[in-house]
Amino acid sequence: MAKARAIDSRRKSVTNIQKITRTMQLIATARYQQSLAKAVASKPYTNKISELVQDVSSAGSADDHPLLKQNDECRKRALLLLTSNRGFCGGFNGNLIRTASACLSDNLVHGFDTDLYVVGKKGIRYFSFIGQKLADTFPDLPDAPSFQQVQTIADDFMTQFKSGTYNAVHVSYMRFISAARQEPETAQLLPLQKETSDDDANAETDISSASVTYDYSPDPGILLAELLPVTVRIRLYQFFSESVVSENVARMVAMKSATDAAGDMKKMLTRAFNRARQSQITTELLDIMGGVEALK
Amino acid sequence: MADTALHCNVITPELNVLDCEATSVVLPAHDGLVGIMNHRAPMLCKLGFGALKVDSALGTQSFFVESGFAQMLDNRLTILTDRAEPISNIKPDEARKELDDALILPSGNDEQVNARFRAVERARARIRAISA
Repeated sequence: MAKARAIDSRRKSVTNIQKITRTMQLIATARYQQSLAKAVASKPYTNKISELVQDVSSAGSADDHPLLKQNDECRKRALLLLTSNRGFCGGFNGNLIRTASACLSDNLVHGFDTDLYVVGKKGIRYFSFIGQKLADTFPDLPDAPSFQQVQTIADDFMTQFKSGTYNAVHVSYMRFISAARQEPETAQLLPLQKETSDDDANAETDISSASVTYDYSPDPGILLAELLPVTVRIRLYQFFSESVVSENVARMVAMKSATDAAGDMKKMLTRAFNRARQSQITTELLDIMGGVEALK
Repeated sequence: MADTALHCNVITPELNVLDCEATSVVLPAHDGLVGIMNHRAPMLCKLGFGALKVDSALGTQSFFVESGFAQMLDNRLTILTDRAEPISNIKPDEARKELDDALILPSGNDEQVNARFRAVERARARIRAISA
């Protein structure tokens, strides 16, 4: 009886775990849809800002803007790593940490020191564990930060970059390509790189808007100097948004696998339980029959 | 309507706040208010703090915007701003408190003076927007 009872209690605990993972999967699905809607909502702003930058660039050059110039004398870079606060999201954090570590080694090979900034408890815990010094950890940031919160971080990086503290600022984040595909990536935030539009549609709009003569207020040069920091802020906000969406997708997939695995395990345990119960009944029957035979 | 209307789109990084046909729009540019009607010449300007008023067939919609850009092109007005808050959501008491808080901000160095000036200007613009 002891074996069947042990299997039964294990089966019950697997059922409970399955209920938890299924609930977590549903929560991750709801959060994924919410975060995806938020990420999609920021696209028109991003596209329009890039369009304005292209329009204004054609009228006034800002090549000497501090956000476009790389300070080659400075041998220090900043790396911002965006991880999650919570686990149960498969290889999400592991992949990001590997990407950031590769960037740190790469910087070292090229003779740059790196100040590491980490968002998310998982990344902080890992780098603290291996004894890596962190420049800042942003403990007050929620799971899905608002534009205002991201703006503060972007402004800090811009101030430090303009003052010559850093040669470049990179961000390691999980790029959201589709619901089935997300890739860890290290992107350059500063200095700003000129966008290369490989999209035909974009190229067409470039040509059409290049012929427009605007009434600029203030001058195009000043306007461009105002637009570039906005570009940096919205780019960083997009990295954050994509990371949040990818995290929710990763959690959704991980929890689905866990639910499926629990289902398989339950089936296996049920079979083992039935077998144990059956053999127990057979043994008991044999005992009774043996007893009856002995009484004859 | 179509001949006298322009398309108005107000976008923030987090939300598409407004997307409608408007008869006229008054926006707070960095150097004063700008009124825009249909088929205006292409324009690109920086925004300041203040009330954005959009007149449409549905009536007048007012938002408090702070910084950003406005682009008028092909009878389409696009307003990109960090924040667009409906003026009806601003509470007078809170706006006044914001001004009081801004006025007692420190002004020890240039950076603090600029931050204080910006906060005071913003608070005054909010009060102006609700009293208008």
